[in-house]
Amino acid sequence: MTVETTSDSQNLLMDVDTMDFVMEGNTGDTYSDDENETFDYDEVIDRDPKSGAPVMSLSKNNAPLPTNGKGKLKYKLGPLSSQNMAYLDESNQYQLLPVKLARVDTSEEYVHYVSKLFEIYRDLGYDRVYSVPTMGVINTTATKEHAAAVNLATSALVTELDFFIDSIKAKKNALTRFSELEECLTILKCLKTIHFTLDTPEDVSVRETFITNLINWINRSDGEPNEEYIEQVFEPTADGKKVFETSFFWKLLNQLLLRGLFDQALGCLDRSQIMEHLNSQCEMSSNALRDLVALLKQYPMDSTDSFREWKSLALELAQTYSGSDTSVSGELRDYIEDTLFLVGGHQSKILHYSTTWYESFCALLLYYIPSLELSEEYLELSLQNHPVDVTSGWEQACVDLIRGRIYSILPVLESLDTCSAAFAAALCEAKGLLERIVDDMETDRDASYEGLEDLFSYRNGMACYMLNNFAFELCSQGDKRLWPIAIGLITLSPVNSTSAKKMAIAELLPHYPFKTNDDIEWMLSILAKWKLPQVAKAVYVTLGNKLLYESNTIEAMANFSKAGKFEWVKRYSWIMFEAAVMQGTPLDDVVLNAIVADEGDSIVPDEILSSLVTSAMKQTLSPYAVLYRFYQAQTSNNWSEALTLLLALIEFPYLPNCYLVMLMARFMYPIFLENDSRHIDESTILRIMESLENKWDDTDAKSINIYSTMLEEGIIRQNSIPPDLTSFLKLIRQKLNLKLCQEFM
Amino acid sequence: MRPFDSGHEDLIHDVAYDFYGRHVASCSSDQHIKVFRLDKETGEWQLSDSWRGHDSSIVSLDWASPEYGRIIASASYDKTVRLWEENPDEKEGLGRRWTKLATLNDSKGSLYDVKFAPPHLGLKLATIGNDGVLRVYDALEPSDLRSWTMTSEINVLPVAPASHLQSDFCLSWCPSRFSTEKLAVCALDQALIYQREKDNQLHVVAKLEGHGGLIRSVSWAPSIGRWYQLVATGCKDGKVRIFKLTERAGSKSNNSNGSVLDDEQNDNESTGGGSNVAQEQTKRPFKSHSPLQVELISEHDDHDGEVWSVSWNLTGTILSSAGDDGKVRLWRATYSNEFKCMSVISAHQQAPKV
Repeated sequence: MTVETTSDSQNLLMDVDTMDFVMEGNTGDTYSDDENETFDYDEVIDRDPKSGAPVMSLSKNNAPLPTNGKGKLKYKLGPLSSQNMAYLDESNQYQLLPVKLARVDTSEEYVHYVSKLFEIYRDLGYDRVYSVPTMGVINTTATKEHAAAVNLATSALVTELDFFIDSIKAKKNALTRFSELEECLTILKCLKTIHFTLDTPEDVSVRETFITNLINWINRSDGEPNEEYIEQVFEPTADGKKVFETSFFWKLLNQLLLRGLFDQALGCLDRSQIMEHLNSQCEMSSNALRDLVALLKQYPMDSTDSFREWKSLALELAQTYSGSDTSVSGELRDYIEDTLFLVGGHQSKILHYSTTWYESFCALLLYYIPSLELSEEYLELSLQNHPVDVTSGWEQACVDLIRGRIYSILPVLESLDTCSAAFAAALCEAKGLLERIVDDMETDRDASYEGLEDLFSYRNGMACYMLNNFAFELCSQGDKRLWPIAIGLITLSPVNSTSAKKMAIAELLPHYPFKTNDDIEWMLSILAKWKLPQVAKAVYVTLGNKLLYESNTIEAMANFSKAGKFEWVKRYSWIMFEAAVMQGTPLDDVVLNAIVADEGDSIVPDEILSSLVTSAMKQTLSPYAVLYRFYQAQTSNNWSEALTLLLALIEFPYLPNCYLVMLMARFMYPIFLENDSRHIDESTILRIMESLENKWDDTDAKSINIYSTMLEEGIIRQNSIPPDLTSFLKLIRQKLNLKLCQEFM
Repeated sequence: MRPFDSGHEDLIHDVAYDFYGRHVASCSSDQHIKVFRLDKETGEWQLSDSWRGHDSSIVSLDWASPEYGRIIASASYDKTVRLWEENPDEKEGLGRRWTKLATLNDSKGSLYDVKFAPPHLGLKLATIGNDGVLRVYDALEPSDLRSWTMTSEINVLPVAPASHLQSDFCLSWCPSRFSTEKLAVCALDQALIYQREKDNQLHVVAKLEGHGGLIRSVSWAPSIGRWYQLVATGCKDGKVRIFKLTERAGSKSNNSNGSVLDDEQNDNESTGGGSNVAQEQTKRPFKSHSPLQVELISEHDDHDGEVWSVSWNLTGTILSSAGDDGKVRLWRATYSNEFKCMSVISAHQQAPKV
């Protein structure tokens, strides 16, 4: 065996670029490619003494109350989790203070991350549900395939979280979010290693995957040993000792070995130049170290059998060295011997050189017996020597994970990132790691409890609870891209009751922040799929009102019509009719005029018109259509046609009484009656008289109002038309009589 | 998120978000209503319009559902409720964008709260003031928003409180589309649940008991995905309470937790002015067909003082409470259905770091 040093390891102990440690410069406040892009994340200023909850400030520099001051503080949660309002009902406090809910992430990166995790979960298909076949032909392959699918999904989840963290590293003010996600990642890496790796069937590289995951988890968790420490170790000592003669060097080397950082350990040995020293001083030690280097380079990832052989060699090396004479100082010999025994899997050496429980846990799995069956034993042994650091959130969660207590880590994950937590819980559920505690709880509850069909019922399990909670959270983000995911999650969540899902969708969907026609189509398609016609009607009414505010009356009417609001369609049809009569020309509305124009004349394609105009609209717009043709006849001086059309309007059985007054004052009198020379045939005169007889009402408030408005606004000439309806009717009768006489003269 | 000057010149009493959370309205003792619009680009609130709405302090306001257009209701100490509609053709900032649709002036005392009913119940609103009367108004023809009819007038308190005593009134509708028409009405230290029964009248179907002082705020949670209802109250006694209301068709209404149908309270539909209002006081005891079981599931005194406001988020999963201690607390139910404080927002200036 020979020592081979690589140029890569000359000056680099750890490949920090691949380790994703927190970098001062790119996570703090100093660096960003885009100065306008800020992450705007919460800053925890304290812990609440009552609840232990994190305390944020209402305003960093502009809080309204003095320290410990009291005040009539009020707060309103808005429909968007990013927009809530606080204010003080106090004199001289006239500020409004918008507040974002804690841990609301509105970044583009987060939307991408959520989408990716949803895809992973959706693509699991039937593997989303864990089931134990208990009867019929039990298909063992199916169980294995299920495990493989879920393990793969978990691996993909962790990878996506890794990418997500990477994408926000450079963001301004993202340090809190970054550290929370890092903590989340550590827990998920542990989860993946312990529960989602070794049972992957027919995977030849399963051991390698496990070891890689294990090493990755341990080293990502704290980023130790850090660069500064490594440099300190390699700084020349005051007493002139060589670096490998100090205990710090061997502690560092052993720490790297405990953590499975083989390349870095080899680089460390290389940089220390110990081999050169031993070559000239002690052949035995030199050979031992050379063999150690060779062993480390060949650490067996592939199979348990090759590990056994490797371990046997490592033990033999340690024992041989231990029983040999050397010509190096006793201290250095002890250091070399300890390292050899550590690699040989000696428990006491592993525990001695570990500084944390997870280092020794990792080392026991790497060098003692690499079996998860012993993981709890290793954990207890490690914890006896190195207790959990209670200030570190992820450590206790990882301990719980190794002990198989999955339930207890889910709230921890949820407190760090609801998205990761919900999907992780769903995958744990799919793997069968979350045993239901329904039976225990049921005994304490009323058997007829209605919660059976509740989306948040304990009977559906914790994963379902978290998935639905997360779906609801997405609906409060105000981002329409997250809505299909939210609805998808509710749809896919393992709740037996479709009616509970249907009701939730019915209540949620009207809040969808639609913008385009495609959005509306999507919303309506969901409502159709879930058979929610009443909600669809409400959506149509909302759309109608929105369009009305945008002065898009025809489309508004189309929506009211689809909502079954026929009274509203009628009302707006008459409003347009009235407006067109008042202004004396057709309305300046291309769509409306296209609807009532003859086919082929319109500039709007017929197919668009036919999809827009409902049968209710065709009926209610018919008076306007007649009026439109009347204007056309008037423009072309076709007076007999104009009179026929006007008469059709006057005789229209559903014409409101007030509009008879309007038509008579606006058109009939000034165009056809006032001018004595204009000829009207007898039957027409009689038909006008009959209409007046049937519909004219001097006392009708609306008729009076419309007549006076026309007078006041100069729509009809005050000098030729009397100021009240009664006189006007008399005048019309006089003129009609005259016309009738002319007919017989 | 930057605080901004509301422009009000006196106490701000209420703020209300529109349905989509893109507009917020505020009202004040300066008799003005202001509407702010969220600028999508900058994420900041811009004043859209401001106008003098009443002849006295405006204490409450609410937005109607967008199904009925863009409408705001405001309630004032001048004893009136006014309804305002936005005219999009008017320019912003000139005080003319919101036009008055109607004035409802039936109250004999200062009004304290006004809330639109959820849209599936039609265009409807409820008010309460210090005459101790709950009034419900309907726009029976939603295409004519100028015409409102008082459809219920109920004496919540047998006698109006003396004017020199401190009092408070508030109400909140049950927003669930799948529940019968219900609302929580608080008068002084009493919290009652009214429900519209088969006789088309509102009757008390439950009481939320245990309040040790004036109830400052009440909020009925959206019950999306749940079969039960949650109602939160904030009280002068310093407590935030969360009540769980479960509908049990055909079951007994009385239980040990205090969901007792009070016969006296059930009969308080009083003489009213509107044509649709019940004209006679019913003397016979009322028996609800769908009684409610009430359970106090959470009680917190973390604020160490009066709780001034409570409000739920869109999905009814987070409750906020704001108190005299200058802190906002956000509460969330855990898997085991316990409400826990998940975060605190402090209105205090931070002490300089030493």
